[in-house]
Amino acid sequence: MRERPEKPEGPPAFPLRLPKKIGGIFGSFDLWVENLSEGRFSVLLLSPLIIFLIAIIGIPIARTIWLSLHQYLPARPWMEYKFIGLVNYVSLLRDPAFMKSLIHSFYFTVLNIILMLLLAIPAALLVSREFRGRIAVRTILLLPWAVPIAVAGTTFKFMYNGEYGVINYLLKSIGIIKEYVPWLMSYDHVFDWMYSSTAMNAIISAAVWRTLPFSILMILAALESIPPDYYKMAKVNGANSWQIFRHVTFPLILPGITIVVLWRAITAMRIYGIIDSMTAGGPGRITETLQILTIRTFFVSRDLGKGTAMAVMTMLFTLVFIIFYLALLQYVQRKRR
Amino acid sequence: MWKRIWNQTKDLIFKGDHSRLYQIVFMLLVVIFVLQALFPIYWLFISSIKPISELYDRDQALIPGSVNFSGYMNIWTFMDFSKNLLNSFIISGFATIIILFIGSLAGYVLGRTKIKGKTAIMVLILALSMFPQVSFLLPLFEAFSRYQLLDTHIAMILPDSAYLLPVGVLALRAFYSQIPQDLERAARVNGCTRLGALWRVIIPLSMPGFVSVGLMMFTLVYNEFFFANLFSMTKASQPAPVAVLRFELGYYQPWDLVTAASIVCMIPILLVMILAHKQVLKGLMMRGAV
Repeated sequence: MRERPEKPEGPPAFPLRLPKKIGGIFGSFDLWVENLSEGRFSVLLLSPLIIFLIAIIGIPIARTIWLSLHQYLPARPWMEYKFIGLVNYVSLLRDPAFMKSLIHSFYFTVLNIILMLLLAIPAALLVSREFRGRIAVRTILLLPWAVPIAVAGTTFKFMYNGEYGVINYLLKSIGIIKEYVPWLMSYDHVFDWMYSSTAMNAIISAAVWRTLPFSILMILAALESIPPDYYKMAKVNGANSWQIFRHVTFPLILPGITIVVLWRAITAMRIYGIIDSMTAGGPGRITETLQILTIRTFFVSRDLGKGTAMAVMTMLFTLVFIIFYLALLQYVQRKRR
Repeated sequence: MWKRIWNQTKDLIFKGDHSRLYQIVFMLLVVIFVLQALFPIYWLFISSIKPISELYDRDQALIPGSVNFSGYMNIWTFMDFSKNLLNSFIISGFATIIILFIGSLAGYVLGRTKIKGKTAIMVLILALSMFPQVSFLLPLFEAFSRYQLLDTHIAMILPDSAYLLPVGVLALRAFYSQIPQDLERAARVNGCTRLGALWRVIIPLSMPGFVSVGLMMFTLVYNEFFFANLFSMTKASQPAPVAVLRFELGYYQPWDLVTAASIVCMIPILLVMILAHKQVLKGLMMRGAV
């Protein structure tokens, strides 16, 4: 307990000048806070966040893990609700649908990241230059981020339509395709072992369109944190623009690019919205990723034990990326100081 | 020879900021990027004002021959879209308020005080927000159905705000840490209490930060799909973007209504982006830089 020497006269007016009755309650709360130590004050301010997160995310995650170790089928109440250990996980490994969805998820993630980088790095370099209307161009490039996922999905579904889709019309008028292609409904696989399907690629291009703005922004943030003196030094020492890019810009934005890649890997492993609104996993199961399969297991086949096991597997897959991501963030932050 | 061509292209791309060719190529690239960002939005808008006969035409016209606003009339009468818009605003508004309130308190601790284990707390919070939503979907669904909260606004406000809170906390923390420590110390010396200093000095000074983060969070919650799709079943709580997806007459999607409704539900967000792009950009940069 610590006495403050210069305590103001009368009850302290917090938070506004309130009538005396309420002011008294606030005043005593204020005094109580005043006498807390620094650590306890921090805990007091952090407690809403911690309680909220534990209640809404922490406890449900624990229960998911707990459920995944049990046999739990609400659709068949005569079966017992009992502890069965890792049986759910073993049955997952034998499940071809799960393996397929795993491959689909990885395919989606890898191709999405490659395409995104190929577009985002040039775009960020372009926008980082000085030219007239730069702010306007930046805002326009950011617009796809503001489109709701469901709307983006429906728009692309409409544009990919096999009968009246504009993408078919444009490609045919250029001469790339001869006949209209029902992009989201085609079944063809290139190879069975090297997964590729038209519907999946169409979805990936829509997802790239939707996530490009954010990756441009992150790379732009990295670009703008480079001090301009570096460029001046390089120019004074006689480097041409390619050398400047190769030896100054690129190494300095590499951590930023890696953060973008890891961020996208984490979010692409849990991709749901754009696929559900475009094909909902179809045709057949060609675009069924981990999340879609998990939700189908929950709400269609009602095998909660298996579904929670899948959710835990998804968690484990993303955990690797998450650890790398957080470590890299710490590294970048420490370097910036 | 290849090396010479490579060198020439390299020079073309990376050299000569003032040569004519360079500027033309530069503007061309900018135009391509602008077009790819705008085309789907443009197409959505054009389709929403097309007459139905042109909408289902095999040869789509890039600029419609005639204009027809019947879609914009019909979504209110046939689909009762105003209810969905209202749901969207309720959900995103309340979620934004929760995020700003809890996030401002926690951001103050993480941005300004010196306590042990700050980094650990931050990392833990961030990690929680990165797990896929399915990992806590089912227990939440069970709990909501037990307390009959499914298909209410609360069922979306709570998970959305919890899932986006860490991002908001980190962005607010960045804004807080920009305020000089001396200001707070001066207020304390002059007789402000702890909470008084927070309320009278720190929060007014970080108002721009609140506006940026609030707009960003509003947009993110408005655009959110996962919980909105799974926890809402009827008009009572369905937000607008999910309702657009469910516009169905039998097995047939009425594209004139769908496109009109998409444009209508995008208008608030696009307005925010265009009118307050500076604030949103700042908030996003804060999030990107972390």
